[in-house]
Amino acid sequence: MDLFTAMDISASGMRAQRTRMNVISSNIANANTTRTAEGGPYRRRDVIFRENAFEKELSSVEVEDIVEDSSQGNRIFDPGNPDADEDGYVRMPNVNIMEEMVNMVGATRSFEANTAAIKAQKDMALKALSIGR
Amino acid sequence: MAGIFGKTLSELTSAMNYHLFRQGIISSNIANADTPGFTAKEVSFEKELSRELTISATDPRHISGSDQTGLNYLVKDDPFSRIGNDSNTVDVDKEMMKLSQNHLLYNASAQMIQGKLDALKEAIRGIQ
Repeated sequence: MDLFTAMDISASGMRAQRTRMNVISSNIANANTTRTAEGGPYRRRDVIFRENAFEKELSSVEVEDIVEDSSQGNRIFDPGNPDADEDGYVRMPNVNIMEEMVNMVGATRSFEANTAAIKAQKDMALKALSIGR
Repeated sequence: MAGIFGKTLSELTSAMNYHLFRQGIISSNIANADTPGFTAKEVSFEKELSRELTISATDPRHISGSDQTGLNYLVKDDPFSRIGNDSNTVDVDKEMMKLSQNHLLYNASAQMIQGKLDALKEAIRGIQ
């Protein structure tokens, strides 16, 4: 364990939260996308975090996987839409904007907590370096 | 490390080592604040220290002979954490409090080492 171990761990936290943020952005951007490469409407994605043994009792975090949410989105009545079925209904993505916004705030706060930890570690390192000046 | 530096310096160094290690544990808790199933960890140094001291009390050589940097810290699961729906026991507010507390204590030890060295320097230089 040296001065930079704690920084590496906080950096892993920042990386994980940034990935989560990218996924949330993708969900929000595609909130109305009805066509995808796999066919059908866009499905919202979610990140899965996993604890990663780093050094003795210390553990960093990593994104294990990005998974699709298999729930069904709403059907809305829009007969003019080219993706409408014979009854005039369109299957929308299963993205809930409110939910995504709440997740986004959570990711931001966690990211900030990690940056605060890195700031503290940097200050500690500087303090140690200043001994004997 | 005796001689002109005395025992205080090595003790302060081991205090800095302890705070550095604890910083790692706190960072690891904060980084895993959103990891399902993660259990918050805490270093119990005080208990370990008092155990060392009790053993040392039986023989005066124990304290002087123990390598200060070789102290083993006991890492255990944090017993006072709340558990959320994802069975993650990290309380971010508490971790942030511990983070700044640990930061200050580390700086305090560094400051004291600095003061110690300054005093030594002053003594070496003498009155001119």
